[in-house]
Amino acid sequence: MGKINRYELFILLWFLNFYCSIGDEGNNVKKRIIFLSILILIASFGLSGCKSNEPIKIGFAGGFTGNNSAVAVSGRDAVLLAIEEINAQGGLLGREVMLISKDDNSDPEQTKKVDAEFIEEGVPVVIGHMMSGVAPAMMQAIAGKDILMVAPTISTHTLTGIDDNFMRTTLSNLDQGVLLASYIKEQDNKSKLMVLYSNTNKTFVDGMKPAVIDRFKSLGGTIVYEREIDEKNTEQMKIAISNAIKLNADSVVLIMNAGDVAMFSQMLDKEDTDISVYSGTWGMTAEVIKLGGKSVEGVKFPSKYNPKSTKEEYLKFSKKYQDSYGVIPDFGAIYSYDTAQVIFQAIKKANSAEPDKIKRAIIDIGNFHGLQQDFQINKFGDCIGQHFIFMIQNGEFVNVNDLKK
Amino acid sequence: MKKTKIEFHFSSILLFTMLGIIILHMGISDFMSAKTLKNEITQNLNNDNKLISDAVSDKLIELFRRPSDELMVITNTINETTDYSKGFDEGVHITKNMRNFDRLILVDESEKVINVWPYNSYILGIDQSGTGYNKTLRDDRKPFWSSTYINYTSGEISIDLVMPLKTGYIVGTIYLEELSKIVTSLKNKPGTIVAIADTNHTYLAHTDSEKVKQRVKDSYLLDLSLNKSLNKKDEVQIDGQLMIPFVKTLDNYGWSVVIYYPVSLYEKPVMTLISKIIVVQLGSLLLIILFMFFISTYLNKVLSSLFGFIKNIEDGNYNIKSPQVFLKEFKDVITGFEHMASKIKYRETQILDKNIEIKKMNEELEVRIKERTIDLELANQNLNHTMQSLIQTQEKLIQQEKLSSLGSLVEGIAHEVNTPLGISITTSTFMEKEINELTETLGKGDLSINEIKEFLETMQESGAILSSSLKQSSQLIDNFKNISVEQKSFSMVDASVYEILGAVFMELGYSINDPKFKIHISPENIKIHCFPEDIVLILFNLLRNALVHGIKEKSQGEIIITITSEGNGIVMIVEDSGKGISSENLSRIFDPFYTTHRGNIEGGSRGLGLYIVYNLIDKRYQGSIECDSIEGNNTTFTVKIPNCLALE
Repeated sequence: MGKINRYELFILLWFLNFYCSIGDEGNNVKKRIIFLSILILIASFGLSGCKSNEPIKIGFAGGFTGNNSAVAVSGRDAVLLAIEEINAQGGLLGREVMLISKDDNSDPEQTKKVDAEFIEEGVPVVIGHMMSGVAPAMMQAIAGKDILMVAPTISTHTLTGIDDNFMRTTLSNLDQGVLLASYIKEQDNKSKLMVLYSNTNKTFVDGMKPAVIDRFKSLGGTIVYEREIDEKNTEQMKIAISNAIKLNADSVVLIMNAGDVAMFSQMLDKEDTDISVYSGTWGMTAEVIKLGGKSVEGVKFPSKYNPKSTKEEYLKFSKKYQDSYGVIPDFGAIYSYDTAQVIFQAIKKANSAEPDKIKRAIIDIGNFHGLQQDFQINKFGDCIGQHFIFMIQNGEFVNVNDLKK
Repeated sequence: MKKTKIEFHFSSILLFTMLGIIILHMGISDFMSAKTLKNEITQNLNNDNKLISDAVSDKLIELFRRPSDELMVITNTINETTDYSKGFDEGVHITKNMRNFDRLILVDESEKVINVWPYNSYILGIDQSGTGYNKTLRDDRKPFWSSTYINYTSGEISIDLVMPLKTGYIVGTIYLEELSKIVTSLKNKPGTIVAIADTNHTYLAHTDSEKVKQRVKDSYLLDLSLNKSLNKKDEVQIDGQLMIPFVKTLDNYGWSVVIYYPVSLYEKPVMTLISKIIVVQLGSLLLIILFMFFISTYLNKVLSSLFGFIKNIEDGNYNIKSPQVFLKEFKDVITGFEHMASKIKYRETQILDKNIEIKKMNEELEVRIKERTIDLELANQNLNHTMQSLIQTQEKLIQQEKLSSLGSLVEGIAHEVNTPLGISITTSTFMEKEINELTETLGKGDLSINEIKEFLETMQESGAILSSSLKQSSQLIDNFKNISVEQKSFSMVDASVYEILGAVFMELGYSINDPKFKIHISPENIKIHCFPEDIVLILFNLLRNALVHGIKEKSQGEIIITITSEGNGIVMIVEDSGKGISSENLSRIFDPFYTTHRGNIEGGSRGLGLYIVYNLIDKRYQGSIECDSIEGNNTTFTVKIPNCLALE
């Protein structure tokens, strides 16, 4: 209905309705019918007009609060940029794209709640969730429902190879674990490994931990110590560090969030020890450098994300992101932005914003052009791509391959 | 389909027009009042928003002024001592009653934490280089406020005030719950969003504190910063609700106070007002409709009584009582009708009288017409008779003309044959005399050889003359026979033009080689399929006219005859360099009995020659004849006879 306000429409309808009700010697039935038809036509045009101009809702689900929130916040902010861009180009299918973000608090119960809300609000596709830990709850909530989840960062291996309404644009953490363990043993020649893992994000831990341990062992290394560390629990970290020293561990793999990786590194830094620190991709955010400072120098991460990428698209995006938010985009931002682009592309191809059709289109397209690297999505909705090892050097993430050069 | 004829009623048109205008005016006034009201509300809204944002910024300045004072005291205390850690403890102690910070840390030049309030063994000794504060201080050794972040230890949204020391710096951390209190304490209309956003558009405070916890960015501010060319919007979608945005930038911090006012809130008073206006309008409209109905009913009544009155006049009842009305205009109309009725009555009487008179005159006229008709019929009959006798005379004359032509023909032939026959008779008489003389001489017995020789020579010569003359006669008769045989035929034959021309010349009594004539026939052996006597007649008449009327009075006149084929027909042109025909005569030459020589040339001319020629060409051969003439110079007849060429 263009720019007509609701009250203007109301007046218009009243006006027309009044005209319709004027009688003239009872022989104006035809006239009334014509007027009523016009009225109905205008009303239905108005309604259908509203319907077709209704924005396409795209959901974003992640834990925006608490210690695991960095990835979700940066992911959401990147998606916000992607949506700004697409809307500036006129939206999708001639409709505006609207972001509906919901906080799952990285909590399974909250995850179920927000997913139910998305379904109820008719949001066809959701970018998220962001933590492998909430994946089981999410799978439960969306099973058989008319919604498509495309996760930018859920990497747990436990969801690989299943054809359902869940897809992802990140690699399985099994690959991360295997790559990291191989690197520690073969490249850094470490043999005594300690594995510390978070009590949160259990699903992620369950995917990565065995991959690291099995691979390291298979390459002839020894796992000197492994234990669960509660979030932010400095006491447990202290104990772990003293045990590591006692057990002559030469390396430690941390499967925990950036804050905990930074805290562990800060504490390890206070001790006089040469233990090398490795982390899963999970810990690889700007926060780890901000909180860890010099103590995180030399910490290594497996990742498909390359903060030093020189790809033009990435540099352009990175500049825009920094201009907007004042920080460099982390992997959450990159993957989420890529995910948003996958969804936009699929909606365009499907010429529809229905979950089934979007999923079909994603599988049909198959090959995608990411900000940093091209990747594939297979028929199970799993992502196929390549991991690299990154190291913090002078407060930046650097690809070790680039260092060797 | 039945076609309905639309009828318009005066009262309906009046009613609908009036109602239409009134409703239109109502609609327009509703629109205008709604617009005005909206503008008024928007204006008020902007004023309110300015007040709110001013209050927020005042409180912010107040909130951020006190921590600065506090940290300044601590910094001064530290700077006065050599042991920074001790100085920190002292400073913290001095300021304990003015505590604005949730945490204070002392960082040395190597960016390690050397002291912390409240005490936390974990924080002590950790590296702070990741914050980048030292780098900022290196550039500009002035205290500054950091961006907001989630405090790792407390999980709170925090902001740091960083103040430089001679070496290292001091960081005071404030949990931003306070900020939210500023916006939540404002007494806003329900649904209104008041928020403070930092330079990165992240909410520092929001009427919905969850937004702060989730570090949500303000999408409108983001939109404005990303699309710098974008004009400020009147309305934006916030969480699916239409809102009017208001932004004020706080220059001290680069932060923004954003206020969103729900469109539905200002729609409500507008709708209420409009509804009230509409109710009043509906009431007025009802009154107007009632009044209009009354007026239209009254008008209908008056008009129908007027109609009855007119109907009476129409029926001739002029003495009917006039209807009683109280409106002056209608009274005038009725008076007008009364006048009209009396005038009509007067005129009607006059018309009736005149009618009787006219009827009488009509009857007289009829009698006269009848008489005249009889006279005319008689005259007509006479004319018919005259006409018929004229036609008969015409036919008779044509027949006579034809006979006359035949007569001329016979006369011509007789003349031609007469000469050789005369010679023959003379010769034979001479021969008879010679033979008699020889016989006599023989009888006497004194016939000499010389005499016999002489006789024989004479006989030979005479025989030759006789033979020649008789041959000539025979030939002439053959020609005549040929023509006369064909004349008798009733079917068309193929005849040589040259032969026909020969017959014509014979008839005219001229030799074909006479120097008066120049003959061009092309092709020479042209033959035509015709009744030869017709062509003879045509050429005879044309040539005779040329001779008689054309060149007779001229000593050196000549006649050119050109006969050529044209398509399947022929064209015959007879041109004489005679005296020509005057233009007034030229148009009449084909008329029957038209002649300029009636009675003054031998036997006179009947003026039928060209008439017969014309009819013959036109009727029998569907041809044409045209005459061009320059008086005193020449006359040219062009005859075209189509489809007459003999097939080879």
